[in-house]
Amino acid sequence: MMPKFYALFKKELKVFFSMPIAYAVIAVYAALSGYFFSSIADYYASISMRAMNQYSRGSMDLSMVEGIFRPYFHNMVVVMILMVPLLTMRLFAEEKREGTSELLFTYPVSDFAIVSAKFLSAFTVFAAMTAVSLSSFIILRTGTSFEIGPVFTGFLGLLMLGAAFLMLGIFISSTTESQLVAGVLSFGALLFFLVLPWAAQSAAPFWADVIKNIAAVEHFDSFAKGVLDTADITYCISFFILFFFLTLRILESKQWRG
Amino acid sequence: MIELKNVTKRFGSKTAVDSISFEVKKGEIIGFLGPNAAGKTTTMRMITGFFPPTSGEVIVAGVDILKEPLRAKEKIGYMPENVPVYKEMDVYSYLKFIAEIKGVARDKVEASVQKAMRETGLTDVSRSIIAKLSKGYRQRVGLAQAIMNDPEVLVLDEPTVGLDPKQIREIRELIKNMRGERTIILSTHILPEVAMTCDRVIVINHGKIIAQDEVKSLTDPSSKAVSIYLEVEAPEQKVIAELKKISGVSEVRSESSVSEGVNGFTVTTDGESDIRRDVVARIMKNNWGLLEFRRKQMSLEDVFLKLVTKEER
Repeated sequence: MMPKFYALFKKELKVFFSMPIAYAVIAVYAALSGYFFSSIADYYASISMRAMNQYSRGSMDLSMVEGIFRPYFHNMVVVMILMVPLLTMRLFAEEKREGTSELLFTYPVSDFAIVSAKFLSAFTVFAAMTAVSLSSFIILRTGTSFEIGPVFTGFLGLLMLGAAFLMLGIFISSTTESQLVAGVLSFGALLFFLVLPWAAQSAAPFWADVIKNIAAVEHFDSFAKGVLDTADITYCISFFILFFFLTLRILESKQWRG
Repeated sequence: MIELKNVTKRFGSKTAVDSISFEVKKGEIIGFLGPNAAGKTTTMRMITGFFPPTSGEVIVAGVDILKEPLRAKEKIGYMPENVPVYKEMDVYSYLKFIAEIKGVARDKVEASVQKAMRETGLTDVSRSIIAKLSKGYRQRVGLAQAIMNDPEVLVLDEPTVGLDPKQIREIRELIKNMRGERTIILSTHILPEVAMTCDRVIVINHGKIIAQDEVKSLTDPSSKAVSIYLEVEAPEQKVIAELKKISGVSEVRSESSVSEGVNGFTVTTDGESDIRRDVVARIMKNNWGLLEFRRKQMSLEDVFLKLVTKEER
């Protein structure tokens, strides 16, 4: 089983870099990440400078976690939402349109291996993309000192939420044969999970609670603050498993097989 | 080697394949014949495990494809119509990927790829991007991926469609060269193809098998359907009118006129009675000159049309 899975994974990854979607996505993400990081850091520097001068009023004790990392990670979730559909929209829609799925499904490989390989190839590109933005933290580290913990949880949050979002994108890609439709729908769905808390403000308390539990940002916030909570980890994992399972169901369904 | 038992496939309320059963023996080449939309591709997709039948059993190389799909799929090589391969890859890396995904042992991958390329004549283009190859070569890539890992069963859906005559001949040669080693089932609506490459024919129409026999006996002159070709020196219409009077004649078709005053005819009978004496007697009675008289061997095309149109009536 393993060699077949590895062959699929290798092939998918190769396509990412030969298309070359991977380079474009990584480059754009790196540029935006650098821009956000430096402008947030600049702003933080000016605020803390002012806070030092007006020590008498001195309630201002903004840590770097609160002042830089948390807003930065929240911004990157938005950028991520733009990038995820670009990585996933092709994965199944293209197989269906080109008819290559007909051969793929007659090879002695399980659907599970196919979905896993496609996910893992997209996730590898995604991880490489987030890894590039580590450079900002390394540069900041050379000038100042800060705790590594919250940076670690922030990146872990990006990766976990990213994995969940990628799986949603893959699921949507499996439901259509148009890459464009898959891309638009994935983007819409992801944006929906992001802005869901807005609805909580006007909802009844019970529903506000429900909405906050479904919304991705609420869960991501603790990662961004440097807090590891099993509830948030569970959220990402269940989100992932749900769409992994749904993708398998779609592949088994009439839509793909007559 | 391949066994179908009462296999039915429905798409919603439409029945694409209606309770068909047949068996293919080891080493046989079977032609799957039928007009477009007769259910050929659907049947092949069920044999290859692309989708399951609505009811019935498909057994390939002794393995039930529904119960043990992965084990059965290892024994099958499939080339779908239009050859959907990953066009952005080059021939070599594509075939290497196929070898790996089909479970060829790691140390044998290279040898298997080379063998498949050699057998299908792809060695010279191994580094070309598939999208840039001609249709004939792409078809070879399709065949190469099908024979990868030496499957016992090959399923080829319209292997020569859309090729030029030279390419068609090359692909047919490739298929013929595999005779005996592999069990092959190929679908087509090109009749000479079956006569040239297959041992046995299964004719399918509207999802049902309407005939299955060896190619030789389907076109055998002693079979029931008989037609006679004759050239008569007489006015065309009179001959047709006269011959139609004979009981047992189902059709008198006028062929092109042979020369001044001489016309050619094909007389078809229902096969129940021998009408040759009658035909000659009537021509003599009218004092027409009989210049040629022969029993016509039915081509596969005649047989096919007869079977399919009879079904439709």
